[in-house]
Amino acid sequence: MTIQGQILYEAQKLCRETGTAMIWITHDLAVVAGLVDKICVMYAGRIVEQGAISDVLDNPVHPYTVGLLGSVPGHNTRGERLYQIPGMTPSLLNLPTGCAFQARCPRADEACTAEPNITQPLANRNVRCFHPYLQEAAE
Amino acid sequence: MMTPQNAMLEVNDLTKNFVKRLDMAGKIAQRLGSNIREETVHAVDGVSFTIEKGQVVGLVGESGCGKSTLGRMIAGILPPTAGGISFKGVEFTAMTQEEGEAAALAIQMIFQDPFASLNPRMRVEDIIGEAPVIHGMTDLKERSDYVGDMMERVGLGREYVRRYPHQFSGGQRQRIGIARALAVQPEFLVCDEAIAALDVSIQAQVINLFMDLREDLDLTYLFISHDLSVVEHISDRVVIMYLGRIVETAPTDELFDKPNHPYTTALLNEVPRLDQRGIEYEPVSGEIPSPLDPPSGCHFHPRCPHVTDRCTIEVPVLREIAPGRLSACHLNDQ
Ligand SMILES: Nc1ncnc2c1ncn2[C@@H]1O[C@H](COP(=O)(O)OP(=O)(O)OP(=O)(O)O)[C@@H](O)[C@H]1O
Ligand code: SF4
Ligand code: SF4
Ligand SMILES: [Mg+2]
Repeated sequence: MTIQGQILYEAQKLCRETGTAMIWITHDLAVVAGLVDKICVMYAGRIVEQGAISDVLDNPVHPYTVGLLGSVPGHNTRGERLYQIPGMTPSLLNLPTGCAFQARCPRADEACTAEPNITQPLANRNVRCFHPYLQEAAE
Repeated sequence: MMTPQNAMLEVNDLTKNFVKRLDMAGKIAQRLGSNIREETVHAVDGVSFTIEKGQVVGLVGESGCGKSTLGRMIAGILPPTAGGISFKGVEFTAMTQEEGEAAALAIQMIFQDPFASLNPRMRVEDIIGEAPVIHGMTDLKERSDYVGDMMERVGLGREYVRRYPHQFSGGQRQRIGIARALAVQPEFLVCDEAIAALDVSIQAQVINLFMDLREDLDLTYLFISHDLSVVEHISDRVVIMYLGRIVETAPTDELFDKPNHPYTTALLNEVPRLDQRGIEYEPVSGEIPSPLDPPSGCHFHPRCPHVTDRCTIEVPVLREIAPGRLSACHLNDQ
């Protein structure tokens, strides 16, 4: 943990001092939360949601982002089962036609057998989904 | 220390030193008057604690503090330098051969890297089925069914029994490792960073699996992890180590609500959390102390904001500060 803090410090310092942009690739969402300005969430090789870190973490709208954040221990009651995204990551060699997330998505329907394009359902937010969780985000 | 009624595992003043022997160049340098010498790492230094039946105990501490070394001694795959381990009331060294074999099966270890710990040339059927056949939990005729049952238990289809490890994903391989451990019907699992290498969504699945197995099979766990939010989620008690020693142990809620030891406080403050934004990371103040040459007195004193003269000289004893809570800090004497 201390080592991790030291690495993050050095990385951050480098960015500041040299004006370098940094891309931090990780599955540790908690580290991302404190470190980055913008986040790109990828699923099966494509960006599915992109936006400012606070916007995305506080109001995720893509079903995959929603599921991912829901499965983190901090978002679940201690000792209870964690939320699990159903199913498994598809093989990149064998993707379904249309949205790659459809077999695991609680919102999937007919429309999702076509390929979703990137849209901007909210200001400064790119989302690749036919049915993003916009109601929830507006609340 | 007081022994609870149903202690499943008791560790007493357990110590492990690793001696770094000099190589030829080192020996020659020494002959020539260099002050190179053999170095001793006090990886685990007089550790005592108990785990009750059915408990999940989380073991936390920064890299190199001795977590894996402690876990490996408990799992019986690394002999201690000093001190003792008792399983269900019997000291390891006092066990008959039969008792020793039973304990070796009852305590299983699950490792971080699901790939490195599986033989790539063996089919899953053999990986999971080998030990239970040797130990008479099943026989060659029934083996396939037995392995299939184990695979279903961890959420893998039994139709995969003839596959090789590389034909599975990371999360599935970790399940194979867990199925292999379960196949010998253990009572106690030592999980050493068992989910660290997995994706967030797969971590959730494996954590859920551990919690289900605890319910269904009445398992007891020592859960080693550097991820405090995971430890907080699944543990009943937490043990915090610093440079080979336990500095604090407490029920999970109490430890996270009200840490006692200054090191625990520092650790909790450093944990990355999902609700944090725009953190200004700070360099670690002072040098990170080495287990080769730990600071005198309280090992934490060079980094502690409350340090006094006494801390640099006298080792603080781990003692009870409230029912069920122990801490090793001189501040508790005031
Ligand atoms: N076989 C060995 N020979 C020599 N030194 C060792 C050996 N195994 C561990 N050590 C040393 O003992 C100390 C404790 O190591 P250990 O692996 O138990 O730490 P850890 O807490 O598990 O760390 P991490 O979080 O990085 O896994 C370290 O200083 C390490 O270098
Ligand atoms: S496009 Fe359809 S299947 Fe894909 S994430 Fe959106 S709702 Fe789910
Ligand atoms: S014993 Fe002293 S140096 Fe160690 S943690 Fe307590 S106050 Fe800090
Ligand atoms: Mg380790």
